[in-house]
Amino acid sequence: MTDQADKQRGITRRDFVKTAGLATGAAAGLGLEGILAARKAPAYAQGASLHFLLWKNFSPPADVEILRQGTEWGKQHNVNVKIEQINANDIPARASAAIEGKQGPDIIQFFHNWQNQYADTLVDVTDIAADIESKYGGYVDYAKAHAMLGGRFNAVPHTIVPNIFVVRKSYLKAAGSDWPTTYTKTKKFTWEDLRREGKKWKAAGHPVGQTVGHTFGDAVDFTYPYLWSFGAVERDERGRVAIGSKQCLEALKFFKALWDDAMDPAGAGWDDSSNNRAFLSGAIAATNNAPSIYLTASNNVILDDKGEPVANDIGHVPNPEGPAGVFHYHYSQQLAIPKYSKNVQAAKEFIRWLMDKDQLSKYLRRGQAYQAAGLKVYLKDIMWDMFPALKPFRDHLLEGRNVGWKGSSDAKAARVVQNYVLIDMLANVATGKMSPEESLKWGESQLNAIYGG
Amino acid sequence: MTLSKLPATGGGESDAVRLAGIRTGWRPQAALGLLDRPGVLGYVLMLPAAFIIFAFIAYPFAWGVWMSLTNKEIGMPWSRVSFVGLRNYVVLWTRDGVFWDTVWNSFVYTAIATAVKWVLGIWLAVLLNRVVRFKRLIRAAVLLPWIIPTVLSTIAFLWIFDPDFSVINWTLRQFYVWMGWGYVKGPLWLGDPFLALMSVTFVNIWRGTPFYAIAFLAGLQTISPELYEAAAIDGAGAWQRFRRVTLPGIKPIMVVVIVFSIVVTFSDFQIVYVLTRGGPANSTHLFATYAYQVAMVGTRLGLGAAISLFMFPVLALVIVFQLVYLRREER
Repeated sequence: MTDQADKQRGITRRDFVKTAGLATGAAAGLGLEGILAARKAPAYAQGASLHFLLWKNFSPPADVEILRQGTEWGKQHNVNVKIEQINANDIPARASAAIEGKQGPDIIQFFHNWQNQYADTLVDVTDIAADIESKYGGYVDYAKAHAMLGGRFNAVPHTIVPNIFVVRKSYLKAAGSDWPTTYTKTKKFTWEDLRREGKKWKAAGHPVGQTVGHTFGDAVDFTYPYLWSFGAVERDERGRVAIGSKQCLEALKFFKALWDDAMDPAGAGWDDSSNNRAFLSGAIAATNNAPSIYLTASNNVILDDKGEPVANDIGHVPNPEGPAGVFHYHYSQQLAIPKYSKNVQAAKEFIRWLMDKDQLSKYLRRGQAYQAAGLKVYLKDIMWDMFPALKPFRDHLLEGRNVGWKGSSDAKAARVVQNYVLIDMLANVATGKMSPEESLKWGESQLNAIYGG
Repeated sequence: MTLSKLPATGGGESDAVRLAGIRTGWRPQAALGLLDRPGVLGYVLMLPAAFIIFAFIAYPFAWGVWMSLTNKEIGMPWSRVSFVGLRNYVVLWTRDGVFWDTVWNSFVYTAIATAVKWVLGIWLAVLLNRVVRFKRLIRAAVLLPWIIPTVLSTIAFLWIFDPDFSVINWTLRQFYVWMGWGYVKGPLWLGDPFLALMSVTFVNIWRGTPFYAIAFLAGLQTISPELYEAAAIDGAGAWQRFRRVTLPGIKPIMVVVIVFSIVVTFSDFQIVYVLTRGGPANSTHLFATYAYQVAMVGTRLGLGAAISLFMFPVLALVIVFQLVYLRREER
């Protein structure tokens, strides 16, 4: 094609090369400022594509928004953005296959600290993460601890799924429990209280329901803070395996009593969606969960036996207090770029764009506050006023810890999560497979095998 | 002159070339002539199959063996991978708290599933052999569980085994209310370690029985009706006819089916992965699911490969038994 022909179509080949060169150079060399200075979106190779792998969200409107954002950014940059959503439980295996085969998604969403298992194979995104941090303020501590290893960000903290206790107020009231209405910062509700009150709820046919099965979210969200609240940790500050403690034994003994007295034994076989269904159908009175139960009840206008909206009967309260205090675990979600990607620059720019306030706030709001942001500044977002029933999730968001705490959230801590070691310690005693002492010994030997102790 | 009509030349020039008086350095006809030899032709025809076996079975197997002797992890460059000898096997044998559960589960799962599928398969085959009306339709319907993709049917079982929404538990609850016995939650199909193992075994049986039945049915149809008539005339009852005529008649096909089934059941993955992912408390992990958890999710490829390879001696023994049996039958 000649330049004359190009001119007839409104652009010459020389113009195109100049523009593309300027914008690409700006993007590569100057980052966002460079792009803004160039006043042009960076151009990527004709027909470039970006493959983004993430979960199928528990809040479906968030999926609609992320797809829209992918399309919008793709149009702006002439990049075909392919967004693939799968069950969160299947992400680790997909990531493993892609990383070992050196081909697959250009951006992968990881949960907890999963990506630390592949740290060497991921692009250093410290530049983006640091830019975002300086622009918007600090990350939530545990989100940062999950995304950063050895002073290097191997993923950008994107969102957090907060988890606290979700209770059915009318069931508690009917059983004569004053929790959660009397919960204050000074008068907390303990695990012992939960056992005592839960016994009543169970007798009325609505026990406490919690999974200790092999599943990615709820099992971790409950097990880790439960153990921490008894003072049980998998590693101490120096990184030594510390699970074989008196505190952990107490936690296991108590869990057996709690399970037998107040909990639904079906929980041993549940996945992440089971407690949502059980709660909404009235089978359980309380569970540790994300906002998805409330959102489903509210969005689908689920009614109780009296024809009243179940959403109005849902209360959100912090986890019960243990001997060592009140602890929470909210799983973080971060975005990583594998080194095999042929579109690292585009992937970085896409992540940077997703983290912009315009995009991230829309994503969180469209998701109806199901997820919070990995940045502290979003605690003040008006989103929480849009969904006042979910404010307790915000109020306890900073109380989380990283997996592996009190040690680091390194690859081995991720391996402990992925092999369900702490969860199985609870499951062993709950199902009667082992005594608390046996389960403690079993867990310690599993951790020693993983940490190489 | 067709190739098959060319006389064997014992490695020299073919007659056609000699007759034509052509002298060449390279003689393709001579090479083609080699194909006339049954020994050579046999190997040539075997080459594609041998290539497939090498590429898709032998090579991955050897690679797996090598990997199990290393500390390979997902994403670890080969320059950092080191040979660790039998360390992975020793770790599994002596220090892994899930491995022995996995061994036990795999044997129980395979033994129960195979035995029940065998009994139900014969029973179903005998019944199908007697059905005259709607024969094809019924046989097609019987095969359905085996034809439906395993993941799909297992997801249906996920609901059937749900403690709150299970159709079985719902029926049980209604029955209790009807009897005036009050409320019962019903069995925790996937929440109790023993029941969970039995539940996944049940799904395997449900899925695998049609395969046994159709294979046995094919065997039954090769048995001459005259044998049954002769046995009946000699005063043999139904049980004796089954034991003395039916069972020996389908024995060869039975051995092949059972061996095949043991191999597939022992290395099963999908049913457990969908229903329990190895839980609760590792009570349903099989070799394949535990290897998957350790290697693909936990990223320890070397250790995962070692778990998988623990299946090999068991499966090899089963195959050897089958080969020995088949050879004896051939004689």
